[in-house]
Amino acid sequence: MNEKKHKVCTTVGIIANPESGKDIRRLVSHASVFDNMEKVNIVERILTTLQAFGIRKVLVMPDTFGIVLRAINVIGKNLKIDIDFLPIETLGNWKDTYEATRQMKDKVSAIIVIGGDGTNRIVAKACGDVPIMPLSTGTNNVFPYMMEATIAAEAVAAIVMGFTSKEEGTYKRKRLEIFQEDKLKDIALIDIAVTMHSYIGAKAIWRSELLKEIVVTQCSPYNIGLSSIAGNIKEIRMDENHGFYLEIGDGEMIKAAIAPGVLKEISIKNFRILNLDEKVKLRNIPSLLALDGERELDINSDVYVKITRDGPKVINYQKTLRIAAQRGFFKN
Amino acid sequence: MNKPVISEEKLLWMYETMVKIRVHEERAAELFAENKVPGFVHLYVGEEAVATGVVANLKKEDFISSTHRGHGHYIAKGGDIKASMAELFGKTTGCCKGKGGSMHIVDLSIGELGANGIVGGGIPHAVGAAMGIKLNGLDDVAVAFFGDGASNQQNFHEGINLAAIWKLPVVFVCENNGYQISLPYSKQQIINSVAERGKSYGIPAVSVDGQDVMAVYEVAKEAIERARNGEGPSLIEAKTYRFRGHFEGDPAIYRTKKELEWWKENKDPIIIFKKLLLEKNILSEDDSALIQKKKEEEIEEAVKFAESSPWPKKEDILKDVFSTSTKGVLVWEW
Amino acid sequence: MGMVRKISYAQAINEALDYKLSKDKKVIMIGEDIGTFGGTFGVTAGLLDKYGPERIYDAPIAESGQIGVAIGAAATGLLRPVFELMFIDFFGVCMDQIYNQAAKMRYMFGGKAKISMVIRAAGGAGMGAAAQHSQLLHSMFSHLPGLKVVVPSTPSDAKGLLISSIEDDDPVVFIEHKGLYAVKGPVPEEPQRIPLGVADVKREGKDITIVATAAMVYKSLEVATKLYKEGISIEVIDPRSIVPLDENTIVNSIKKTGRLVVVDEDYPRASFATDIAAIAASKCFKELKSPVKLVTPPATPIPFSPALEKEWIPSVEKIEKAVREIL
Ligand SMILES: Cc1ncc(C[n+]2csc(CCOP(=O)(O)OP(=O)(O)O)c2C)c(N)n1
Ligand SMILES: [Mg+2]
Repeated sequence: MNEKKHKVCTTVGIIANPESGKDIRRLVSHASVFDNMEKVNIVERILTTLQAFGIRKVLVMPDTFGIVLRAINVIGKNLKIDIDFLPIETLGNWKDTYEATRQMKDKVSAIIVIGGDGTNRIVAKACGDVPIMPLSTGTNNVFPYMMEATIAAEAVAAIVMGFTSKEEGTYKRKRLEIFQEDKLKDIALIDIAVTMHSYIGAKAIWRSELLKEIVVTQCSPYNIGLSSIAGNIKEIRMDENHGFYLEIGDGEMIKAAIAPGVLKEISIKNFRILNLDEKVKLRNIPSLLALDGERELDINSDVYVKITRDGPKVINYQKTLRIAAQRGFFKN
Repeated sequence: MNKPVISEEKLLWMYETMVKIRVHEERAAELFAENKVPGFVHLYVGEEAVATGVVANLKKEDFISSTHRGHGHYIAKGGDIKASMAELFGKTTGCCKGKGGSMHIVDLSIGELGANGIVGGGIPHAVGAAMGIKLNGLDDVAVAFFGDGASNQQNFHEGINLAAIWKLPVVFVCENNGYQISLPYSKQQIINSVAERGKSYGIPAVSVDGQDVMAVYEVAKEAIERARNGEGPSLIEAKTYRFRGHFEGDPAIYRTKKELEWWKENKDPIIIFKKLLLEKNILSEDDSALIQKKKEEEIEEAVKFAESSPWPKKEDILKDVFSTSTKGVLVWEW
Repeated sequence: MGMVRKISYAQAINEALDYKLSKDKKVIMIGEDIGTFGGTFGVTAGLLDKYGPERIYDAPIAESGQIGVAIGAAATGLLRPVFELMFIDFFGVCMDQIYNQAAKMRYMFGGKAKISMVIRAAGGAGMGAAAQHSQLLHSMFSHLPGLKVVVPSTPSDAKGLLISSIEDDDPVVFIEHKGLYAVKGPVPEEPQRIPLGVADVKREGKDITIVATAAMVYKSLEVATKLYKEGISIEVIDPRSIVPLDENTIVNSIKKTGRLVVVDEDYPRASFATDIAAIAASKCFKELKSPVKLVTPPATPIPFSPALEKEWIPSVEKIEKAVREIL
């Protein structure tokens, strides 16, 4: 699909999740509340930045709160970008994000995602090969960047305006695929945890007693969440072509920050490297699967998990801007 | 089956309580339509998971303060439905001897500090109860239930702030059912969750799906344990929806039928919970039918009790104003 | 009769609070600047040091919240709060908690709730504090069923009535006239209780009955002393509590004298003064020898200028004139 370049699409997509940043982790783990007015401010900075670098069109997921709409109102008549809202009936749940990603993926050159691991997981299900720029709304995420939105928007503009090519400025992330009876049932981006919780409830996991197995695509001692259990044993970078599997049970104790401020002692029964495309059968069934930290799937029959390189294409903002700067992106 | 971290007994209590509230409210609606229950009646249909999931974590000695939409709180806390039904009728056997009605049902003996006709009025009462608990060295907690509309009111702001600075064992539970009578939540506040307000008072706050009793249960459990351990107050916003009008007789022109139908079809807390219990083999269809029947009988018994109870007498009007007999003019002439 | 020491009205109130705080662990205080600062009028000085911040709560400006907390605490039976509303004028921001919550709970709940709490507040004109910091407002509260209303005039009444108010099982609005805080009088050291609903005949007389409250008691007594020299015998009755009201003492006095002047610092319409006049008209009409006279301020907000405020407050001259007119 190299260089057809009749007409370069310079449209940017924005997905801002109004529901992220308020779940039970605020209560059990002193996580910070990420309020929606802050998301409005972020979108405001994104729009003015995109505009400054010549982006003329933005496609937006409508949301129940109106994050982008409010940002547009704040900027007022100084806004020159053409902003289109996708024709979606908002429900205020993950389906909005999924549907918006599906509808925008063929019409935009990059998608800016404002939300946590959970939001990105949904986007990843539908974004195909469109590069995404994931911006975190809180400190309890691994997948998205915790960074200033202005810089993020600059990187997106550099890619979209062609200063840095997609090949140069993005990389494929890994993902976890869950198979039941040979059918792809769901995915996760960072970790899958098998837990003996019998219900989905408040989704997050802040108690370690019921954890049984964990599979991760990447992990490190400097990340938060369930993957840190693995990360504290061995670091696995996102560019390495393998992941990690571990089982919890009698064995060596390690400490891990499974949520902000929540340090748990967990006993590791065994662990091993999991190669790309290698299938692992989960041992504890029936149980619940937590995908990227949230209880999602009730499983009652055999389930296999494998790690692939079919995760979303994510913009490496540092590399992108470094290259773009050399090519005059910041020159008038 | 994987083991629940909550006993089956408790799960069944929750299911029965939700069904009991639903049956009670639907019967109350009929009684209102038949002119047997006078006054304003605000029903809790659709919101059952909130009171149930929260109160499942409370003991008898714990306190709750309630609202104009208070039947669910009262029933969940263990209030005697004969006494409350008689109160709805205005009979002398009612929990307020017929002087309160639907908006004032109360049972102090189980820590139910009363429904309240003033929006937001009960919020600081729970804070006061928590102060009493703390100063008496008890390990009880207090819970304030209130609506999204109430979260605009001074008592919300003042009550939460006082609880925060005095680090009292109280949990604020906002039942955000999306409407303050006709005004949608989006037109009440420029934020999208009452939970965002916790930050400005320096207390943890969380938003939870109020139609999922397990989610409410888990969140409330953490908040209540926090309070019990002396870690101070917290705020929970439960996103919920009322399936009936604001009060009985409300034509509800401010919302679409489609919206209502969507909630009833997709977010009925009883259906959602029942599905979970069936899946986990904790409940069978037969059990469920039996529970339904049992609750209908209980409510019917309460209705019979209310119907057959005597009316209060004229001289009762002058009673219970004060704890002492009144000196000075109480009535010029009858 | 042994010498009784003289202390101020403010000190007397402080003693009552101190006594109840020391005797009953359930008694706590909530209010603005009542702790470190010792109260805007110095009434609560020393209590924080003695009882600590778990009994004496210096609260942020959130009157509705504060009263609500007091009500909730009282309803549980776990505490007996004394809430200080800095100025009675501020009731407007927290009236709901006072009259819809505290006042009605017992009745609404069929007699099952016991709201034992006191709302203490400073009231009264004469300090150039203008329209929002000078009202007395006892009529307002006595209008509302379920509240007991106390307006003491002397230091010993203040002490005895406050102890009774704190021990009372109903919500009591206890209004302290700020013009009286410095007034000294004999106050017994022991915690003598004065029951609510018992009027005090401050001076006996046979020709005319004056019913007066708070600061007006002193002015009425001044008139009585002056006119006594002319052979006019005035009975001055201080009801002390507006609710409950000692109607008998008032009615019996009117029956005896046949003449009534009501002297009050609250507004004139639908008021304490008109209430007493109504009692006279309905209960001792036959015995009345002349029209009832009401000496009250005009129905206007309280003016700021000392020149105006002086005219606004009922004066000794006006009381004397009223007495002479019906003799
Ligand atoms: C102080 C006060 N203002 C207005 C009302 C009238 N009123 C009764 S219920 C209600 C709406 C309350 O909305 P919300 O708090 O969201 O509770 P919901 O009815 O939705 O459960 C209003 C305005 C009242 N009872 N009290
Ligand atoms: Mg509401």
